[in-house]
Amino acid sequence: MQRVADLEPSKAAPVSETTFADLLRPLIDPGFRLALAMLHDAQAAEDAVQEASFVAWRKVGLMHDRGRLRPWFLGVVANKCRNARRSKWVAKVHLGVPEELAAVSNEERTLRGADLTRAIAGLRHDDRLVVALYFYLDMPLEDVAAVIRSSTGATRARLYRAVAKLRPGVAIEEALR
Amino acid sequence: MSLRTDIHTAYDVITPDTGGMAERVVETARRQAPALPRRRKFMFGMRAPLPLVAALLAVAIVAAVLVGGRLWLNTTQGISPAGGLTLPTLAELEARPWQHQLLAPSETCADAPFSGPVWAFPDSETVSKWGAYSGGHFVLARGFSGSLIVRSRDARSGKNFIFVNENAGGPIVGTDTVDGLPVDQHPKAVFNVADPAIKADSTGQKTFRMTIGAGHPFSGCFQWQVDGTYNGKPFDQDSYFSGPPG
Repeated sequence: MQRVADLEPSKAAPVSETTFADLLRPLIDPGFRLALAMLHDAQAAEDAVQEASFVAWRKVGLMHDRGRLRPWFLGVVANKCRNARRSKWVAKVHLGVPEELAAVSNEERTLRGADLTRAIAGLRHDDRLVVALYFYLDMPLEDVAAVIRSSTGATRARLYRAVAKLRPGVAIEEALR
Repeated sequence: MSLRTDIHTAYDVITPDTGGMAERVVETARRQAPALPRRRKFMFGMRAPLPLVAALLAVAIVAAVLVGGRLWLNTTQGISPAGGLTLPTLAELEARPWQHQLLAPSETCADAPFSGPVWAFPDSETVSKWGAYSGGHFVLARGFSGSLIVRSRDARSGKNFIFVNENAGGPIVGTDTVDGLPVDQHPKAVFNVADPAIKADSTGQKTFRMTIGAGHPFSGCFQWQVDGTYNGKPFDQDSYFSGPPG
């Protein structure tokens, strides 16, 4: 099966700047939230979304089914995040809560959130991706599968494994509510 | 609370205000994307007669068998792809000189991340009474052979950092309890590129896991050095990263 990402840019049907902007604009917020969940760094997340938008500019004209644009764009963002994480080793992985926010947040809630984001950051890329898409972007399993280009069954299995790593003591069905 | 609610809560706390971001990103794409260089596929037309194509194909198959056989021998007999050069032993890799100088107190610790053909990215951290640990993956491009060793030192004091768990190598230089489990500490990480259990991805890259540990006190300025054999030649790559002291 030929994927949009494999097609030659020169074959793209022309898309007006206005149409492009109208198509892309609603994808920026979910793209940023996904990138933030993957990278835990707001600036790096915006960079990833910006780079994904350049790819979208070149290839959006190839999308005959505009209904697939959202999962396709989120897949591009996920790839940009994978590359971004490969770019450097940081001594302190900036996870969890900025110190200035801790003072105004409920301490217990803050600590639990920091533990959770740290645990998610410890997952492998593909596991982290399905968790972010399913739990944070609230996407149906079928749409998550479209983003990661996998079957619904395989995506469900990956999600189960990821949840088991995050919350070993929690029943899967309870966690997936 | 459900896991979904917990995840929303955790990320909502660290999500900045995104007002105006969509317009900013779209406008930047509209202005800059058309001017960016496009990656083009390398293609050429073939109009040769069929017998010539068949002859060329036969030559290519013979060449592939010869080269492939040589590479297989190299891999199984520990010989590098380049001209029969014997791959260095771990001791020889370790004997390669340390490329970094200690930083003076007045010098800043500038981040100089790995930029390929070795890349590193962290994914976890934990602490113990002894010190701090950071786990992650090293990704090696196609072209490495034999073993790679990874070493790290404190750029201020020169104190060696240690490695634990997967791919830690060399003699045991200490012990600790991490996340409730006893671990042996080793002076380096060793990646065996020829290990058949390590499968390359579709681009030929191989991924290795490692965990580095820094015993208290440490300055927060880390020097890294990777030594091995790349494309048949001695390879070393150096890196710095800075972080909070501990």
